[in-house]
Amino acid sequence: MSNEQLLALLPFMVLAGASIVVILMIAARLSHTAIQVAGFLMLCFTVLAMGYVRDILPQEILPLFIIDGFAALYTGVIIFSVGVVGLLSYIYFEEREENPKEYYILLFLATLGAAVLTISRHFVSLFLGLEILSVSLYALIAYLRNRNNAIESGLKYLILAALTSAFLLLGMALFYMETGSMEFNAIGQKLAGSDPGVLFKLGLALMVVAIGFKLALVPFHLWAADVYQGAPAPVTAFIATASKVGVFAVLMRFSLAVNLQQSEFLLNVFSGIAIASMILGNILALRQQNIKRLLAYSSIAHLGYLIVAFLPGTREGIEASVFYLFAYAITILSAFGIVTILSTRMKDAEDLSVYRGLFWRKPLLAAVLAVSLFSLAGIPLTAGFFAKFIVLLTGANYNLWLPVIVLVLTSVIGLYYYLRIISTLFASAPAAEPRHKPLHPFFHFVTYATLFVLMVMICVLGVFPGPAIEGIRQFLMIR
Amino acid sequence: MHIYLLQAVTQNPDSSYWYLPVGLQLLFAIAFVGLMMGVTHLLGPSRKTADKLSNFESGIESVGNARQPMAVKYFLVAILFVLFDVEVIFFYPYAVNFKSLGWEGFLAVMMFVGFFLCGFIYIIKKGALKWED
Amino acid sequence: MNVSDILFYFLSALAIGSAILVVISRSPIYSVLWLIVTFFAISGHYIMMNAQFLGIVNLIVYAGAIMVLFLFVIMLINLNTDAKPQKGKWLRLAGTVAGGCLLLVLVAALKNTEVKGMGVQVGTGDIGLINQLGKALFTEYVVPFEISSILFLSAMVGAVVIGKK
Repeated sequence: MSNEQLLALLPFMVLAGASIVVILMIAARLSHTAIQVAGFLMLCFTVLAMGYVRDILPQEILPLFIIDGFAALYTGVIIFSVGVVGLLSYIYFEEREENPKEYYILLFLATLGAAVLTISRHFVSLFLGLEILSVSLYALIAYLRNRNNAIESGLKYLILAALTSAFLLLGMALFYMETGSMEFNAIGQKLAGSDPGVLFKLGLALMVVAIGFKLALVPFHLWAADVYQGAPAPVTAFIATASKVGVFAVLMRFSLAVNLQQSEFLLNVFSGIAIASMILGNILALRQQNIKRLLAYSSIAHLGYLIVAFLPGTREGIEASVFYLFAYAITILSAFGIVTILSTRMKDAEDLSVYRGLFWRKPLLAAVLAVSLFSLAGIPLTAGFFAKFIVLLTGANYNLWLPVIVLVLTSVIGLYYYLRIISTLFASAPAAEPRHKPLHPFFHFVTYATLFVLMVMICVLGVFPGPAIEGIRQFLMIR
Repeated sequence: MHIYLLQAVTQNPDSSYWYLPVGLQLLFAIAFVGLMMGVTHLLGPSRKTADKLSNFESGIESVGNARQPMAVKYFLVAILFVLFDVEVIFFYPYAVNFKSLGWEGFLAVMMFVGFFLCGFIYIIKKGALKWED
Repeated sequence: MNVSDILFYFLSALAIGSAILVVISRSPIYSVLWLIVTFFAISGHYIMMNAQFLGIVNLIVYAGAIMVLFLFVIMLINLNTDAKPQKGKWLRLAGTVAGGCLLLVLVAALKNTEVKGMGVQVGTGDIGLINQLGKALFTEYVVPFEISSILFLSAMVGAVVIGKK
């Protein structure tokens, strides 16, 4: 391996190193604050490393990895999400006295898993990345063991994820049987020109089970609501953003390499999945009273919208999907940020009653939540609107009329339940309950500042999306 | 068949035909155990009394329920054992190629062991292997 | 049909049969024991495919260590007969139908492919041999090798977090 190749892996090594640093800090019995600060610094180093290696991209590490602009974009979204999750976690875990420290190791490891997915171009690295992500997530979901639903949801995720991993492996084996290779490009070359054989279709079907499970697409969405509800709120934010970004990135890379979208049949399968996710996700969210479950169903619908951008399989599709994922990550992170801040020691703030009259008690938090819900609903002047607009445009350009029409109609349905929450924010207020343990105001300031910045980002991306799209375009040139 | 086997063996010293004796021995062992169990069952007299059919607990009457959930500590030790077991297994392919891999291979293994060592320090400091709380 | 073909079909039948018994055994202990038989049969397959190292590792890790873990898990759960969950008849039927459908699809799809009727290829290929595997692992696949140690690390931390008070 040459020096440049090694250098291109630097951000990933820093991420792995971060987890090691945190492990050793725990072994040395340092305080939660110290670990939080160190974790934040390591994340900053990762960002610096990404900036540092930008000039030597693209680098190929045969046969497993390719580090190009595409990977850098998706990794960037992942690192951004994890940074926000980490900032929000401090108050949340400091209030729960049982050990909050291992959380940061597992968070870094899960991040590494998701990041490995974005650079993988081989089934081996795909599987390794997916497993690191899942194994860390099992522990993260069940992290607050003494809570009601924690172990239950962790176990549900464990069993279903293990089952879908088996499907994934069988699918890979069938691909290998058909083409004699596990590398995406080599598989694509073997298949080029000819109609995909039955083994390929079967293998793809089995892989879609695993990918669909991770992305919580209908009909593989059954875990989503329970796991979102049972996991600690910051972990839920991680599952909703980083883990899905990584898996989507690898799905995109694979489908581009094997020209998935050329096949009429497979295109129909994916648009069917997208349509089902959009419809079912929005309908299930309609009558939901628990905000974490509601966001779970809404994320199912949003991944359905994202698949519409995946369908064309062109440069425009990739641009739209990256922008969509970025906007979606900011939005859902700020929504979960509010859930995290309002959570008490015993229970996450998941009942809608907690949010009753929030505007009169904490206007800033209510404003952030309202903006993020507007963005999720796709109201103009927010990032969510513009993201949806680009996806629509891409879909319409490639004559995917049915998914596009479903997207518009289900967005209208979605408006109903987002506005329902917003209306409760402004309802008459009950008495506010006091916090248990007052923390140093600095951390509250940091958390509030993070949320405020997220809100501003949502608005700025909604009004001036141009520079962001230009940046995405430039990064995608690096290949 | 003998000649066929011998040819294969002489052609390739790594051939899996070398495992034929192992397989034969396995087969023989299973057959022997099965035979003995079957023959004693058939030939021996079978007198079933309540005392003979009760569980043997050093001669005293069995007390209580045997199906009690046990402590999770055992499981923790077992799972940590499996992880380090797998680590050791990765050494075999390295040891076989020790010379030809040179310093690069050595560095790779050192890094691998380093990760595990950090995990091990964590486990010890955390007291995960301490039996008494 | 020569010796290797006979061995192949014997091991395949053993693996499939014992795997079915894993699923349908009433006692979880029996399931674990049948699973061990399955692992032995699969190890036999590995050895026939000239992947002897993998065969032995499969025995040491899976039939040895992982099965001990399974037994521990079984001892952790409450196995008293009155505490056994009652599975509904319809649930069982639905599971059978769903599994049967998957089997049907797989068989129907694989029936028409050219691999049908291809027997085992004995003694060809050497990637499963220990020195070839070592060379591949430490040169071409060295990055995933290091990443796999991180996978172990996350398993370690996860186990301690969940299992330790």
